[in-house]
Amino acid sequence: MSETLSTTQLHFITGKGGVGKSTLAASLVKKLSDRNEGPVLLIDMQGNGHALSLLGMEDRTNFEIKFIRDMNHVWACRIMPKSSFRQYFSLLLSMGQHDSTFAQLTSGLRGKFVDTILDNKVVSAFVDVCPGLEPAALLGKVHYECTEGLVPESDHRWKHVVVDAPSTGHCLMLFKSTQALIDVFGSGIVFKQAKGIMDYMTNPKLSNFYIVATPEELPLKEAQDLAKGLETLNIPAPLYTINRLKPKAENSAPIESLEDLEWKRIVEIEVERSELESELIHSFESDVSKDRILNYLPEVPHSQELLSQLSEMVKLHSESDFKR
Amino acid sequence: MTQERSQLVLVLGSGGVGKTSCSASLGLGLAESGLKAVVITIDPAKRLAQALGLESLSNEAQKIIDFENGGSMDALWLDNKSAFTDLIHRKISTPGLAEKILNNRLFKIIQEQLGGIEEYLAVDKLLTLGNSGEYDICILDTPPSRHALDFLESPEHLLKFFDESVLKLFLKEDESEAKKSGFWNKLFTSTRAQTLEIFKRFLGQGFMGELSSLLSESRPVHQSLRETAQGVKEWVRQDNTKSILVSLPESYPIEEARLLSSELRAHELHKADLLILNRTLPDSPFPQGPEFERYLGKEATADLKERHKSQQNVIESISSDSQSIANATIQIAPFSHAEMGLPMLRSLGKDILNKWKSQDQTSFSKT
Repeated sequence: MSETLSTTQLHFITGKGGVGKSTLAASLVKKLSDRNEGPVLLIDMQGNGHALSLLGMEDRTNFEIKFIRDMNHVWACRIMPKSSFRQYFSLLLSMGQHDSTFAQLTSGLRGKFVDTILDNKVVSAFVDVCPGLEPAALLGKVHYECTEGLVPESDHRWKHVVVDAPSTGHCLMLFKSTQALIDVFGSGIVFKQAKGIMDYMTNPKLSNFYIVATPEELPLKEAQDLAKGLETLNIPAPLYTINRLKPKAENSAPIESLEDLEWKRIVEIEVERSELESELIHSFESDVSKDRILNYLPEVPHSQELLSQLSEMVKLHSESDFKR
Repeated sequence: MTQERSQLVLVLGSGGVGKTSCSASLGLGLAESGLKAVVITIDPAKRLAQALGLESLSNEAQKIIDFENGGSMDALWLDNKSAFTDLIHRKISTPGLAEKILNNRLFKIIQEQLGGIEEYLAVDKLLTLGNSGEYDICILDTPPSRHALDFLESPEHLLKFFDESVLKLFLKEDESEAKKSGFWNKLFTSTRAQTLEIFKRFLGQGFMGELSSLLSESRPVHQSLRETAQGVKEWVRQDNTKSILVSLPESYPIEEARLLSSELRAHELHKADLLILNRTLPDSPFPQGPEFERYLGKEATADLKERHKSQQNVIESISSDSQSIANATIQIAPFSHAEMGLPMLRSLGKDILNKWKSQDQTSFSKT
C-alpha cells in the first residue's frame, strides 16, 4: 500500500437532533468542492435525505453513489440506519471478500448464496437483530469508501468523505458497539473489519469529528457528553460548531416605558433568552476550552443562497487553532 | 383488564420544542381537575426537572403534587442504565441465571446497542404503571426522534432476536430433532450446517458460542417480552388513547410535526388529537416606529419582526390546510425561564386544557 492510498480525509458530523447537522455537512461539502482539491463523497447516514436535498439531489436511492450536478466533483449516497436486509448483508459480504478463508468458503456460491441465504426468513431475522452487526456494517461502508472506494467510472480514490452522521446517542452507539466487537471477540471477519474501522477513525491524520450544537441547554450538554464518550474510544478530539446564534438583544431604553403589555412581555423574554444564551455559550467555552470551538454560525434563513452563504463562513477542522 | 388500564396520552415532538414542559403541564392540569396522572419522561432539561422537584433519576414514580379533590401527579424520570439490570433481575427468577446473562459478552454489546433496549424499558415501565391501577392517565413524553413511535415496536424488535426459529438455527439441543428423517429435515439440516459454518467464519467461533448460550439462557425472558409487546399494542390502539403533537409555529418544526403525524398513520393510529404551537408570538401587529428598536437593539428587533411575520404565515397556512395535522390546534405564548416553576406549569396546563376543550369535546375520565 502506497502513501497515497491512505489520504482520504474523513469528516464526521454529529450533534443532537435538529441542531443543523445536515446543513453543516452540506456546507462543508460545498466548501470542499469550491476548493477543487479532489472528489468529495457525501454519505447521508441519517437517512432523512436532508443533506442530499440541500445539494439538490432529490433521488433517494439507497446505497447508490450519485453525481451531484452544478458542483465540482461531488457525489453523494445515502445509507439507512435500518437499511434493508439484503443491502446490509451484501455489504457485510463484500467486507469479507478479501479474507482468503471466507473467499474459499463462499467462492462460486456468492450469487446462489445471496439468493438462498438472504431469502431465508430465519437468517434474515437473525442478521436484522444480531448485536453489533448493524453498526459494524454502517461504519464499514464509510471505512470502505475511505480505503477502497473509487469515484464512479474512474480509478481515483475519494479525497474527502463527509458523513452526515446520526444524532449524538446513536452515533456514540455505532462506535461503542464496533469497539465492543473488537474487545469481545478475537477472530472472524467482522472482528478484523471492526478493527480496521476503529484504526481509521481513531487516526487524527485521517479522521475529523465535528459536533454541532445550538446555544441551548440540552444540545450543549449532549455535545459535551458525546465528546467524553468519544474520548474513551480514543477518537481524535472533536471540534464544535455553535449553530443558529441569534443577534444579541441590547436594550438602550428601560423596558418599563413600553406601553403595549403583550409586546413588553415578549421583549422581556427575548432579553432574558439572549442573556441566557450568552451565559450558556460562556460556560461552554470555559468547559471545553475556547480553541475547540471551530465555528460560530448565525441563523441563516432558508433560501437558494443558503449553502453559498454558509460555506463562506464555515471553517474546516484543518483550519482550526486547536492543537491536537 | 382493559377497563382497569389507565388512559394513555402520547406526546410527540422534535427536540427543543418544549415537549416535556407541555407533558408536565398537561399532567398538572389533569391532576388539578381531580384525576390521578403520571408523566413518564426520559431526559428533562435541568430547569424543568428542578421545577418539578425531580432531584435525580429513578425507576419509581415520584410524587409531584396532591390536590384536595383527590387528583395528583407523579413523574417518572427514567434511568435507563440501572433499569436494565433491574429488568433482567425482575424477569428471571432462577438463582444465578440473571448474573450469567448480564455477564454474557454478547449481552454487553446488546447493552451498548441501546436502540431497542432503552426504548423497550420505557415501554415496559409504561405498561407496568398503566396496569398498576394507581393512575387514571399515563402521559408518555416520547423520545425526540423522527421515528418517535418506533419504541412501540421495540418489544417486537427484541422478540425477533429471540424468535423460536432463530433459536432452532443456533441451539445444539435441537439437533437431535432435525436428525429424525425426511427429505426436508435433511435438507434443512444441511443448509443449516452450511449457514452456520459461514456465520462461524464470518463472526468468529467465540461469537457463535456466546450467542448460543445467550439464546438458551434468556429463554425465560421471551414470554414476558411477548406479553409486553401484546399489551402495548392493545393499549395504544384503545379508543380513548390520545396523541398530542408539540411544535413551534415555524416552518422547519412544522415540517417535522407533519412527519410525526405520518408516523402515527404508519403505526395505524388515528390522526393526532391536538397540535400545540408552542412559543407563539402575539397575534397583534408588530409595534410600529423606531422606538421599539431601543428595547432590543436593531438586529434583534429585525430578527423578532421577521420571526413574527413568518409565524403569522405558518399559522395562516396551517389553518387553511384541508389536510390538517391534528383535530385541534392551539397556540401557547412563550414564557420566561425566570417564571419556570410549578405555578407556571399549572397555569400552562389549565391553558392547554381550556383551549383544547373549546375546540374539541376532549374527554379524560377516571378509570
